[in-house]
Amino acid sequence: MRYGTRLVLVACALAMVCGCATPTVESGTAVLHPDEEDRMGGTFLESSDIRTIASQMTGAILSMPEVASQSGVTRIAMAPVRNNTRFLVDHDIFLKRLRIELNRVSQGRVRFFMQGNAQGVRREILGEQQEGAWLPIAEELAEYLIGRMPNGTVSEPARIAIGEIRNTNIQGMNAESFLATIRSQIAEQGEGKVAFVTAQVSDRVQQAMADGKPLTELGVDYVLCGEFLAQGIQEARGRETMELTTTQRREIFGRNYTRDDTDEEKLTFEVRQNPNVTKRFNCLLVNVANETVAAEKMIRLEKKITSGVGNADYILTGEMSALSKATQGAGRSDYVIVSFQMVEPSTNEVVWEDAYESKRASVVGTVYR
Amino acid sequence: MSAARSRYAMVLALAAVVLAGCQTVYNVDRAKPGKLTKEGTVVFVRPTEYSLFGTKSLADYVEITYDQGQRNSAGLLEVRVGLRDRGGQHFWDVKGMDFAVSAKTTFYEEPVAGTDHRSAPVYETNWQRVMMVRGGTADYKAVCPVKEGAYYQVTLSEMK
Repeated sequence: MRYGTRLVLVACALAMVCGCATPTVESGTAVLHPDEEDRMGGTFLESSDIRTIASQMTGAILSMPEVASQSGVTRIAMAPVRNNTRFLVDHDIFLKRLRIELNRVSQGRVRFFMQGNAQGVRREILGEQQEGAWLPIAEELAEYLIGRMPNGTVSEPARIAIGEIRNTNIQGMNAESFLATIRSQIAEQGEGKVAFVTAQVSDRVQQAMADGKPLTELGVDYVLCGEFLAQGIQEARGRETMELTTTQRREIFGRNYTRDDTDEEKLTFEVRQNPNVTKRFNCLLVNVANETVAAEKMIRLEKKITSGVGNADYILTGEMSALSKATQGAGRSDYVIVSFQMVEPSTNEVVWEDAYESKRASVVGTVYR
Repeated sequence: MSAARSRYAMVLALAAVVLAGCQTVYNVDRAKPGKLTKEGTVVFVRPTEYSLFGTKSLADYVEITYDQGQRNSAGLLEVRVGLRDRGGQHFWDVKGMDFAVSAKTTFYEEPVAGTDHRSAPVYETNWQRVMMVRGGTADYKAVCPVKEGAYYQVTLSEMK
């Protein structure tokens, strides 16, 4: 074989071998299965334990007679796991992993409530949906009132004044706008049989009502009155001024944290509150001629936004406890028990309980976060 | 001239053979039906460490005292396997040891043991550590939370 041919063969072989080489990149990071030990020591629970807890408790919860025999959905509210150990860990991780496992496999047999997360957006969505429902409510109300006004013709329409509307500004609602919507709906559905008097006449009617004087001389047939109601035990507050006195100033900048004593400083700010209660509007149509209520209807404007936990069948909670030992060096030993309970809310009975135990000893000091 | 051509043809043939080995996509070997048929309801994973005498296989130390799968009161398949640490069984290791074994149960809708095919599982547990104490029997228990689970296979591994 000639020298040139040999060279070509060797070059080809080298090129092809290089092409088949597997690139090796040493990043210093190992990719582990969550069930594998990370060889970093530590005597608390590992990721595999958390997964094992979730798997074992899922089987146990779905085997509960109370859950298994229920024909419909079992609704569960969660209360945080109490951490009685020396370890500062995210104690929510246990219930979070358990909830994931139950949601994965229960096929709708159990259902949880979103507690804490996403509530701001939820409130915003529900608020916007309720605002969008104002027009149908006003239509319904107008139809009801028009149906109860017997007299009035196109040639001589019934004259309506706006009377006193109570509690218009205590509920953080745009009550004036809502009333304007009702008025326009009455006028539209009245098809010329009703006519609203001017604001000046309405003012005189309101003054006469406040003074207890008769309304017959004011030239109106009906007075539209109403009251906004907040369905709650506590009194609804609207605009509120709050004051805060401070003598210390704290600042967090990056990793630095400073706290300085300062002169007494008074901060004043205004709070507008829209109480989270069911809000209703009670509408009255007063017949001026005989001073009786010709029509009255109460409608719901806003529904209280609830977390839903009131519908929970059970509370799922837990507790972490440990028996810890330490030597003078870095030697540590921990017996950890994580228990879970299912509580019936009305009776406070623990209808189910199970636990997971672990004991580990190590001579390597490890910090858990 | 013809000799030079044949050399170039040889180079090309060699390149074709080598390049064929470097193809991007190729088939993965399937599990052999004969081997699948031999698998029972509890199986060991091949050990990663071998010693001069015998192996460090779990099979040397672990024996199964019971292996049962039955539906519990909720109608879910509950598997229980008794794993006994029988200690050292060889002249080079008569004492044995305490150790942890990882166990995983995979639940199926269709039969597994003695069959040459596998369907996708309906549920599988994670690798759960079972502590084996010399002379003691550990009761490994797994419940299939999915009602469709009717058959199972427990895999034991030295994974730590």
